[in-house]
This record gives sequence, C-alpha cells and structure tokens, in this order.
Amino acid sequence: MKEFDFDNVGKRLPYATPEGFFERAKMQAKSLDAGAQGLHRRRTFIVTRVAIAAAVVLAVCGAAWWAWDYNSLENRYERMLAECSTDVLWEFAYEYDSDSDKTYFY
Amino acid sequence: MIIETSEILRLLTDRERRSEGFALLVDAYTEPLYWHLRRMVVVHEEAEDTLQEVWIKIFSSIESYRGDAEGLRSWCYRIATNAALDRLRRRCRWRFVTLDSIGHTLSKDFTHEVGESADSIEGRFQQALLALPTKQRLVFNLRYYDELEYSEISRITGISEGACKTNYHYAQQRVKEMMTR
Repeated sequence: MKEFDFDNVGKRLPYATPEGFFERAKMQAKSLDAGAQGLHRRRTFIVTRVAIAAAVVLAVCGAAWWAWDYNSLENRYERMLAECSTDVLWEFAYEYDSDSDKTYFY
Repeated sequence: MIIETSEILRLLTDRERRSEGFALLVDAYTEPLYWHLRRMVVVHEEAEDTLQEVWIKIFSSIESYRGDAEGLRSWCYRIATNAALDRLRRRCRWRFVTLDSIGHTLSKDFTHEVGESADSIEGRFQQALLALPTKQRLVFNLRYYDELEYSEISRITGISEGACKTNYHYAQQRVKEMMTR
C-alpha cells in the first residue's frame, strides 16, 4: 500500500470561520487598550475636579476663619490699641463691660 | 516576522507608543493564534472565546514582559497554549475523561463542525491528529502548521527539545498509519 504523503494535504484545514470574523476579533482585542485609556482619562478628569473642589472649599473655609478671627474681640482690641485715642478705648471698654463693672468703674 | 516583532517590541516598551505596539501585535498574531487554538479545541466558538481570554491575558501582562523580540512570539503562543489546555481540561472534567483521551470527544465535535468535509483528505487528516495524545498533537501542530523550531516548541510547551522531536516523529508515524488504512 502506498505510504501517505503529507504534501497531499499540506496545511489545508477543513475548518471555516464566519465572514468578517478576524476583523471583529482584532477590533475587540484593540478595544482592550482603548477601554483602559478611556478609564485612565475618566479617572484623571474626576481626580482633577475633586482636587479643584477641595481647594475651593478650603479657600472658602480659610477666608471665613480669617474674617472671624479678624473680627474677634481680642484682635479688634489690639487694633484699637495701636490706632485709637484713650477716649475711644474707654468707650470700647464701656461697650463690653458687664453692668456690675459699669457701676463700679463709671 | 522577526523584524516585525522587533518593531512591535520597541513600540511596546515606549510608554507613549504602547497603544500602537499593541495594535500591531494584535494585527500580527490574531490569525496565527486563532488557528493554533482552533486546531486544539476544534469548535469555532470555543476557539473564539479562548482567543479573547488570550488577548486579555496578553494585554494585562504586556508591561511585565522582559524578554527579547524573538521570545515575544513564544510568549504569546505559550499563553495561547495554556489557555487551550485549560479549556480542554475543563471539558475533561465535565465528561469525566482524561486530557489524553479527550480526542474521542473532539472527534465528535469535529464531525459536527465540518459536516461533509469530514470525509475529505483534510478532514481525515484532522481526525487522525485528534486521535493522538493531546501533548503529541500540540507538538505536531506547532511543528507542522506553525513551522516552529524545536527549541521554540520546547519553550512554549515546557517539554524538553529531545522529547519534542520524539513526539513529532511518533506523531508523524501514527498519522501515516491512520491515513493509509
């Protein structure tokens, strides 16, 4: 019996693939990379926006604290000491003294 | 192919051009990997699913690849081979058969897949290959269809180079016997 010759079949295969299969398979594989890049861009967008919002909140809180601190009783008194006459100081002190103190001092 | 693989690797190692490199890798290896998988798992849908798993694995591991251009092809084939064997092992568990005896199951799938082409010379050739033990069939496919050197087949399969040559020789003999019956 004649020995089988591999050249008779070569590399031919009896399998078929659906039309356009390889193009779709390649696009699907490449979309892994596009998906990863899109995720990275979205993450960067969110992180940037959160950082800006946090900075704004800190700035607002900082400004509010500064305004409160500037107008605190101690700081107003310190500024008056530096800027004002004795009469103004007495008027300021009178405004904030208790009733009993007013009776005693004035 | 070696020159093309060098270019692909050069782009993959460049952070700004990695996407370009991955796209070239996909273009270069989708068909060879698919046919390698198809010859192992037989059914198109199984090969398609396995190919997707392979690309996911390659994509998630590509940054950690530290080999040279020549090794890139072996690396891709190794991932594909392991994925194909895992898929076959899962089918073995469902059917309570061993990896080497799954050929009978695959032969039934083959007849269903190709229909009348099963009686063609290509069909009978594939059925002869499916009757081989899985690892012998694997070595034969990589040598005969992909024309890889035994050293590369050894890297892909984890089988020693000498054992690869022996497996290929025995596979050739068995296929010849089955085709001349």
